[in-house]
Amino acid sequence: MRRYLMIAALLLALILPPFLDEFSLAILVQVFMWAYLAMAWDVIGGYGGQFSLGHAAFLGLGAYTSTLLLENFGLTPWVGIWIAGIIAGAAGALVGFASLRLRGPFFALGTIAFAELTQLLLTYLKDITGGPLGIMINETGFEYMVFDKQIYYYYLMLAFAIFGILFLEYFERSKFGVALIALREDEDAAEAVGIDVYRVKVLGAAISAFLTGMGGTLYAQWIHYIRPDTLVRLDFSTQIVAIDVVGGAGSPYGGIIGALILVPISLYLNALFGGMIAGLSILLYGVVLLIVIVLMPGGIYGFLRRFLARRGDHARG
Amino acid sequence: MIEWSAYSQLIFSYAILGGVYALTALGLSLIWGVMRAVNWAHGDLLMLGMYTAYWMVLLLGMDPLIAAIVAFCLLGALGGILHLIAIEPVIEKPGGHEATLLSTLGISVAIESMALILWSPSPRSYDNIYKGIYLELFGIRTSLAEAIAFSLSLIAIFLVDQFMKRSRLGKAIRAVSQNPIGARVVGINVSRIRLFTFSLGVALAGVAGVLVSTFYPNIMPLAGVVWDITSYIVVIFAGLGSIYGVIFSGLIIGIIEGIGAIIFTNAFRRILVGLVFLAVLLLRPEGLFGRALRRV
Amino acid sequence: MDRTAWILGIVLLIVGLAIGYFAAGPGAAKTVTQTVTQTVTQTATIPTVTTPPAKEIVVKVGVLLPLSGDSALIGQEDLRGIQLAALHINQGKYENIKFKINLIVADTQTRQDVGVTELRRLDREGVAAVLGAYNSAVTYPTAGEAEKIGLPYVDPEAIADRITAQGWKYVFRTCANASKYGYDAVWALYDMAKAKGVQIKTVAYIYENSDFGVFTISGVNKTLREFFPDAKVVYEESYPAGQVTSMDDMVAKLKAANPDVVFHVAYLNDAVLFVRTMKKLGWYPKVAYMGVGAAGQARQEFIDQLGKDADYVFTDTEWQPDFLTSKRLAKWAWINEDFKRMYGRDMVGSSALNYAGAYALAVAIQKALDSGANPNDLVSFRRAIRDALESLKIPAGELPLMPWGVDFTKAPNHQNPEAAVATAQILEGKFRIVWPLEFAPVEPVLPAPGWGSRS
Repeated sequence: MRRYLMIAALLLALILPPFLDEFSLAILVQVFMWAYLAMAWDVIGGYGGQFSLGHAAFLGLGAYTSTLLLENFGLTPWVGIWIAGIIAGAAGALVGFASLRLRGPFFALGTIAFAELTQLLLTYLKDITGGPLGIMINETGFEYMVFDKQIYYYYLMLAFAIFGILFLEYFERSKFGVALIALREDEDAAEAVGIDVYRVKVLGAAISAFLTGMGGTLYAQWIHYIRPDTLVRLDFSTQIVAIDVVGGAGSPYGGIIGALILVPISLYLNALFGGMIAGLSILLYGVVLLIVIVLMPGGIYGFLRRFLARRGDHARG
Repeated sequence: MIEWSAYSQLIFSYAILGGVYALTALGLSLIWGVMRAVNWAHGDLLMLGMYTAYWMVLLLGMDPLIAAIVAFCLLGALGGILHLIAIEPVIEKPGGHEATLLSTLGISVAIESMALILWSPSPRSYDNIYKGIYLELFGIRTSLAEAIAFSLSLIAIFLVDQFMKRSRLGKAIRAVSQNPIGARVVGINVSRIRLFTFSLGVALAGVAGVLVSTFYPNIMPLAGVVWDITSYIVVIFAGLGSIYGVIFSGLIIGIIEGIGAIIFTNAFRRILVGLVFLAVLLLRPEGLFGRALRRV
Repeated sequence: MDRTAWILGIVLLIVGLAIGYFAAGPGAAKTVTQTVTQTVTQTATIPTVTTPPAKEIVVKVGVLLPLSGDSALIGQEDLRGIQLAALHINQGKYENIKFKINLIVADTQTRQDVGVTELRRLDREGVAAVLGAYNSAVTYPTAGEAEKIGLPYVDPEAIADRITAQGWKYVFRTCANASKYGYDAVWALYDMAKAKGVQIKTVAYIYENSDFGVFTISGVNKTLREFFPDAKVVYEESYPAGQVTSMDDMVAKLKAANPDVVFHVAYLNDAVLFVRTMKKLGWYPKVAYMGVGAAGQARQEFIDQLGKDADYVFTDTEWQPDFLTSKRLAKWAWINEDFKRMYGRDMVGSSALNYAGAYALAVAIQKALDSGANPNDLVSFRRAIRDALESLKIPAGELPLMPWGVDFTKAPNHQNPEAAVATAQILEGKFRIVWPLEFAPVEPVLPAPGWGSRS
């Protein structure tokens, strides 16, 4: 049943674009992009139970890596994106080390500090990164991953989003994924069973950061202008987390569900009301976030799953 | 380059600033101690305290220090409501601490936008006698407003500490903070304690907001954000269970900022504090003055 | 209160809104000529445009501004300027502009991604041109997008130099760029110092560390070589404007270096904090404290919050009511009067610049219409507007409120070469224009008296 739904959704996603205008496509581009980023976070945030609030740092490191390689060496972002992932992944390993010592809210605060330091670092290494003035991407053309029309970005982001879902589906069944989940549930028991806590935590964080770093390249190529203060921002980190938790952390579909709900809410509401009552769309975003978190602790996916399961019981009974 | 007396002036100014940080962090430290909940909206509640002072002074001609009492009550009430909406329903469930982070984020965003819609982004400020008077002691100058904020910070910390040690309620709060399960076993109504603590924490944030507004320019919807992160850093530094730790860690943070600013640049302050914060988190997460964390 | 019901209700609401928006499409989207912006003293409503008779031409113009987020204060002020211009045009106050403007307002939330998305929405709404976006971080990507779409983009206020250095064909800037702000500030200082016989030997630069600060100060620095070749820069520091809780260290270092003049590029918060800290530590530059960039120090709130301590501060400014006392500009007083009636106070630099920019765009649109462009063929209409902008010439004195005009014919990079910035000094709690001399009703007080010598 689920499979059929997903295939139908996929077909819809594939054939829809030619009927949509640039504005709607731009919104969907962002939906898929944030969904992908949420899924990347989910690797350690949902499955690992490590609440990182500093993922914007990986976004920034990835974006800067590929952009600097592009602007200084002419390296195409299609290659640069992988290097961006590696650099971000290395930074992620650092965060993984930290997670060995820090738990829960301490870890969250530590990642916030980490992200802020990353932003400051990017700002002050002016000679390398261009500092607070940022870097503009002026190249155009497919080989530079810059497209004239949103529709190409749409398919690119859709591909990444699909990849994210498939990756998580595979991940949660893999030996490594199961080990990570076990660590989340009960670290001492997991250790007793012989799971190498050290390796799992560090590698898990590195994978999450790697994927996020690649997302950074995608973002840079879409917005064409990166700066530390507009890229490595706390509200990007919290947006990623909010999307995943609202959708349902620790599941392959949380990211896409959360993004499909929260991204259009903020962008459409802003389009409707932004010109008239400034701040209303943001207010509604906050209220929706609050309501979902309080009423649906497992996220929307978790809620749907339980809801459907309960209904199933009734039908059988 | 800077002469000696200027150094002592700077250290003094930054120590005063540190005292202010401690004041803003006090409420947070209580909440953190009892619930280990991250209140994302802390800075915004500070901002509401600032606006309370503004409207009280403007509409009723109140003295800011009296307005602090009003803020205490208003924000205490608001804190209770917020606690019931955003914290209590999730805190005891698994992943509750992280959930409070997001639910208070929603609240923070909502409060900021409401302030924007209701009061517009125009920066407000009000005249008060404390702002313009400068005190001088042994060649070191500070404004009366900052001096008052600093003193009240010390007084508030003393009062809270006494309350924690002497009153039944205070002891109950400490019990919950140290061992919630044990506290429940001896019959303490843990949820009610949490409600009270959160309300008190927010009320203190409101007072801090009023005092900050006497000397820090520009009351705006986003005014609280800059104090938020520093408050958290102070709280973590201080660690759990130590009220006096808050003032010491505030002072330390203030002075670290000062040293960073003097030796390098103003911009470097944040980097230095961030690095020190990470170091403390990694090396001594229980804070400099707190009890050792229980290994649960 | 069944939880399921709650959740279903909310989901339905969201789905309903989404469907409603999709179904409505570009034609039915809300258009705004009215705002309910809360201000400090009163709410103002601008009368809506009544449905025009069939023969009239209505042109949609997009407005892309930060109405929420960090830059909300200025974004909302900019909007007031643009809305007033639209209102006056629609009331027929300008005989040379015969069409009616329909403003479509979009909030960038001071965010790049939202800005770019909203630009696309404006495109979908069928706007003929766009005014925006104040923050250079948002202006770059949105202008770049507009360039790709072929949408004329007029920047009335963002000053980062690079916006007009990209070789874009559809992007135009009516105001001065950051370097010019720096240039005019130093030139003003030179004229004033010469008139008062004051020597300037040492200066210091303090500036916020984003493009605004960096470009403006570099403009100051280059110009300093020209006007004060023997002057030395004895101290320089940049700082993050949004994160300062204390500036004691900078003032202490300045006190030790003791420059004659301090040039400070700042936003409101840091500017006020800086002056307060100077007073606290008992120091003032020997000759002048000069705000550059017309941001923090040019705001009325700067005076409101500092009271008497704000006196003698110099600041560059795009516009002050003092301009209206000059013979050349007195004829525009009615614009400010209208603004005062609606909002209870005078216009400021932001609103005036945006008013002028909107007017310039309107003149270009009229030119395009006069040359036979069909407003219903959006693609060719936009191109015609672009061509009209490129050959736009509005002589000084015909651009409302401003002492300068617009001349893009001499500017291949579309940076208006005529735009300039005046200098004001705060005297007795008011901004008084002190340079250029033609518009200065009073003389500057130079050197500015230190704290001790004030009454």
